[in-house]
Amino acid sequence: MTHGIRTVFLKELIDTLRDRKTLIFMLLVPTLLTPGLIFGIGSIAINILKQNALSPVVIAADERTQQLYRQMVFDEFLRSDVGKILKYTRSPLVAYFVGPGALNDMMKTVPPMALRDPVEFEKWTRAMTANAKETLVGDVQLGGAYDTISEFHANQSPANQDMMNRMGVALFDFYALTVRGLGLVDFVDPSRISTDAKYAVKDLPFALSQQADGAKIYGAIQSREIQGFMIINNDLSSLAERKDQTAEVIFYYDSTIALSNEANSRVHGVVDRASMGIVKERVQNQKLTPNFLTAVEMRKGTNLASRSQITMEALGGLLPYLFLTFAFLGAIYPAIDLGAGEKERNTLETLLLSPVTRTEIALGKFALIFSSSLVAALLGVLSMSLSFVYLVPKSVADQLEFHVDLMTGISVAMLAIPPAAAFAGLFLAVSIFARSFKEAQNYLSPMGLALILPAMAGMIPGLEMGWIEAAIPLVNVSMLSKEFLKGNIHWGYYAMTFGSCFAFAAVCLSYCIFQFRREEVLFRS
Amino acid sequence: MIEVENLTKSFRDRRKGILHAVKGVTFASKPGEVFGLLGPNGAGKTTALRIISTALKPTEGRGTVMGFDCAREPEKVRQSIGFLAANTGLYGRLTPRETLRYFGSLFGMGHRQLDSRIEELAFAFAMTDFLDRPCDKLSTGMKQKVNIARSVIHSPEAMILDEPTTGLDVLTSRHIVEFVRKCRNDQKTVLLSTHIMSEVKRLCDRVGIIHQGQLRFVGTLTEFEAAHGSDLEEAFINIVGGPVP
Repeated sequence: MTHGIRTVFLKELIDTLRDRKTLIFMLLVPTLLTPGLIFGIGSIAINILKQNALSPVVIAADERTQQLYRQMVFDEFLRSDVGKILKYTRSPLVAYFVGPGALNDMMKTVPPMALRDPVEFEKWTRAMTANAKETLVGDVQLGGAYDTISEFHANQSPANQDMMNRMGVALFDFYALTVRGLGLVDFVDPSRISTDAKYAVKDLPFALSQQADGAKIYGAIQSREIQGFMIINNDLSSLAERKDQTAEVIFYYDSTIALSNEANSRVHGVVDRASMGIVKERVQNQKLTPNFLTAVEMRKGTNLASRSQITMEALGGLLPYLFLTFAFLGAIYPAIDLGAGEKERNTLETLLLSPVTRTEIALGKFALIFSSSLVAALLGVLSMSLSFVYLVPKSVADQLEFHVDLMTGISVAMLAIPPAAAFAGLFLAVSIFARSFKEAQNYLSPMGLALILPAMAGMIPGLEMGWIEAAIPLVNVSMLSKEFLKGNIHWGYYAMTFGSCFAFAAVCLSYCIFQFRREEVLFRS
Repeated sequence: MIEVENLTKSFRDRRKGILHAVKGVTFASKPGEVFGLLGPNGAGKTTALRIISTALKPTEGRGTVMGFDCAREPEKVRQSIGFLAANTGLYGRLTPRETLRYFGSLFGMGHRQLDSRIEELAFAFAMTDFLDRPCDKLSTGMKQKVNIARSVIHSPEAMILDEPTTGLDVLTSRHIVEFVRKCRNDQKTVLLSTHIMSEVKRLCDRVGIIHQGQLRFVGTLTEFEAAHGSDLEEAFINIVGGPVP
């Protein structure tokens, strides 16, 4: 570095480090954004899902429909292998599975009455739901993340694997059927709906316009008084014997209202399970084995990708997207400040009249913007890595698995260098061309949008890395980072990526130096 | 010594075609003398000064500063001149000391040399009190002092001042006026542009009147008065009002 470049660089470094706006974009945003995204948005989304999954829904149904529905759930509960649930539940493993013995304790409380009478069964379900729904929703329904799944995985014997699979299904059946199907469903008689009917028949969705109380029911769903309207016209009992008949459950709901949608999925889940149980019984009645229903089955456990590869296929594209975004953010503000900012502050002319060459001035400024961009990108990556290690809830983290060795980590981190150089060169050229801060912002902001596509290349499913992809600047960085994280190390592509990105950066930098030498650019007014 | 000969600068304008900002300008400014380039706004004063200070390259003709050619030896010319304009800005987040150090370093000065030069200038321009305060927090007068100090950090032989008092109040202007007089006393070559008649009268030994890119008169003030009468303003309007010869 010549004396001139170093002098310009050091001055810009001091100037930039004293600039709060740049520091925010260079240091604060990349450092805090990732944890913010992971923690904030992630937990908000999970909370909303959890909240919906835990909220009771109110379904309008006449007395007969209510009875038929309860009976259907009860029959299915008796039909389902409760013994299996109870058996596994008593094992210490299951107690671990669902947290501190929640299901174990729960099942001990099943009163004998509840196994005979649907109404008693519902009462018990509701009492149990109030205590256990938090554990169940958290551990079973939302992705089956159990407290000790990692410990369980440490011993992946076929017996353990099989037990876990069956346990997961059994718990899910039990949960879907009883808790979501009964414990979290309140019924109301349509005649007791308090919402005033204000919809004319012609305004009603066609399906409800056919119903006598259609306007009232529609209004009640819209006003959130109820979440759906159920009609069961057919007798659901002894369907196993009446083997040629299909009963029908009608459920009106509004898919654009989250809780109404949730109500639909609860009812749907119950009906599907019940139907499957009845079909199994029909098959047995015909003296057929359960294999009658499954002619050909796909064997499980044939996926050759490692868990690490699966995780990185899903998440590996996120890392380059973030570090390209942070490299962009880290470059844009200093570029505007060091180029257009000099013009706006009327300091450019005095700088140009010092004995250092314009190339040296351009290179000194470029070096600072490049450093800022690189620091922002690396901070972003570091912050993301630490967030994954320390901030992601253990239950979610246990499902993710990735091994990134030091060499791969460094190789991927080094991929931030060429984009940072390209951004620095290009942005400084644009910025010095602009007459003012605002004009530079107007030119550079749309470039952020233009960056999104190449940065997201790693997240586009089906896009495979090849020599052509490795030759496209930025796209190659995004795709290659993901491949490296997945463990597919290909140094040829790596060299190509560096080569093409540096060529692009060199063109940007040459253009930048060219702009610094043009009188009409420097003295544009 | 600043000499320009047949200096011409043309710009290409998309709508108006080729424009001559400066055309065939010739004059010389000697050490120990203040040469004033007087002309209305848009006359070509700033363009002429920018060519001499090497910011722009001439289309035709040549300029030399202390014997160095402005187009061919720009680095040497820049070492020899100090440039100051009223609207010259400062880096707000740097202190005057850092500003002076930055420019001194750009001019190739060593640490020790710079430290003593900064102390010397701080004393000379009474800047000691605010030498380590960010420039953003300084008053206009203080900023102007910093700017003057910046322009002479490398002890240039020649000073080029582009409308140095425009927009400044009386008190701040006084710093400039005193500075110009000191430069003359120190036997420096001073070239300044202005459109203010009284400033010419107060400061300049010789004057060049420029209008529409061309010099209309070059000579001492006495010669000017002898040729055009003692009312400078009237004479100036007569000159710039007439057609280009």
